[in-house]
Amino acid sequence: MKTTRYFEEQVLRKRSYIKRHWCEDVIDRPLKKEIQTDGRIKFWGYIPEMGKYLRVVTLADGETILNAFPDRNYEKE
Amino acid sequence: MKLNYYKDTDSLYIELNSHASADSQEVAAGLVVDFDSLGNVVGLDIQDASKKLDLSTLETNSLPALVTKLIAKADERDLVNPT
Repeated sequence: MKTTRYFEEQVLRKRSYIKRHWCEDVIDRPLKKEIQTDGRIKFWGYIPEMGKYLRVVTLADGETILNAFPDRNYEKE
Repeated sequence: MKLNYYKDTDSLYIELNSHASADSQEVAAGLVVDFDSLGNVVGLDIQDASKKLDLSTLETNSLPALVTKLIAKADERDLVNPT
């Protein structure tokens, strides 16, 4: 799993409730995927352990993880 | 309070205190707020920070901080292949 320093040093550190493998799973099997105007990519997946949808954001390469957080506003297609 | 900026991704994390985040919520595009288990705000996650904030100047006014650290060294990793 490729990650940015921001993800490792800030996101995973501060949001210790987010597990690394959840992010991998969401990218591997997303419920939804959307490309942002800046080229970065949003992936969504449901995490039963959280009881919430997790949004994972990667760089434009689609694999280097930049951010992850629960998304209350996720809407299924 | 700590301000951690990453030039390679233009990401800024403002850590208000050392408490762990127990929940997070995107309150605006590219702005995620972290809350502790009591619902207190403990951090701010800002993407595209240089487009939203004036990062050229940091000014404090009457901050009762006993210790101030300015760590402004350029990280060589930030200078190579920004994405």
